[in-house]
Amino acid sequence: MQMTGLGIRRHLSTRASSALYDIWESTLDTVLRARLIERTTGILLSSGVVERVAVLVAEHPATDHVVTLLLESPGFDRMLDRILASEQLDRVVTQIAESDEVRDALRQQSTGMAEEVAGELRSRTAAADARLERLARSLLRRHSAPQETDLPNPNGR
Amino acid sequence: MGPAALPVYAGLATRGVAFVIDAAIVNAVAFAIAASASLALSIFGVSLDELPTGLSLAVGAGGWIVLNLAYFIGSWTLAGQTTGIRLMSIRIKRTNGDPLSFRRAVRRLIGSVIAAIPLFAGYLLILVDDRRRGLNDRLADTVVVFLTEEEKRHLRPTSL
Repeated sequence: MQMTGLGIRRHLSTRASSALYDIWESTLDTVLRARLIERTTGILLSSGVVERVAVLVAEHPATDHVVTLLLESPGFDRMLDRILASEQLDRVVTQIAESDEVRDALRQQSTGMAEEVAGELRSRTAAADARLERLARSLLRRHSAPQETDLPNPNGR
Repeated sequence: MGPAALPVYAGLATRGVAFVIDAAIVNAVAFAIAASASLALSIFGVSLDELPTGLSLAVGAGGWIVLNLAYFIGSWTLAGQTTGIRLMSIRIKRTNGDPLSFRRAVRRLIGSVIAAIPLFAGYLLILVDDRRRGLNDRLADTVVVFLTEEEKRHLRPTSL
């Protein structure tokens, strides 16, 4: 039986899709096995490269234009739905979320933020200490305490 | 080695915030204990509501007082800091720099209660004292100072 031109094209297209999918699957397996994604993400997060690149990209004038074009293109929603529904994306996200490197980086960021908040609170209360004291002393017409005039920053900042 | 830095005494606002944090911690723990006790009693078919009011009050108030005694005296004696005080990077010590003994910590806690009775007037002394000492500090011969950079570095591994 002879295949028509259309049949040959369909056959080739199916084979090509199948081969591409196999390559994609095996590449993804290799990447996940080598813990490449979580290592790279951990390094990028802790080194601050991600923040620097994000700032550079966000401030570029062409970024706005490209983003608008992309969001308004008809194929974008379709592609997004397919990606979000894909099993591979679930695997990648799970792998990243469970990686020690990413968890460490997130923990460090949380600790840093908590310390920053506590430091800010200390600065503000130390300033309030001095203000309250000045008010009380002015009400009682007393001289300032020796330390009040030259109060070192309790945060050392 | 340079001369030792002068101590920076903590004022009313800093100490007030530290106290609020400590009060929140103690009350949260008290609430957790009461909830656990209630749950445990419910297994035996006893409800806290069924207990006589006097007994409930006595146990509740007694437990709360014991918890406060343990928290404040324990923290002051063992570390010179409660959690709230540590968060504010301050520390309680004797005026001569020594840490608080158990007896002095008890005296300070009693002083804290006495200072609070006349509408917290005993704490207003902090505003006019040269070393920012309240009535409780005067009674126990203590001061509350900000941690030095070296002390902060020393404490950092276990801090928040």
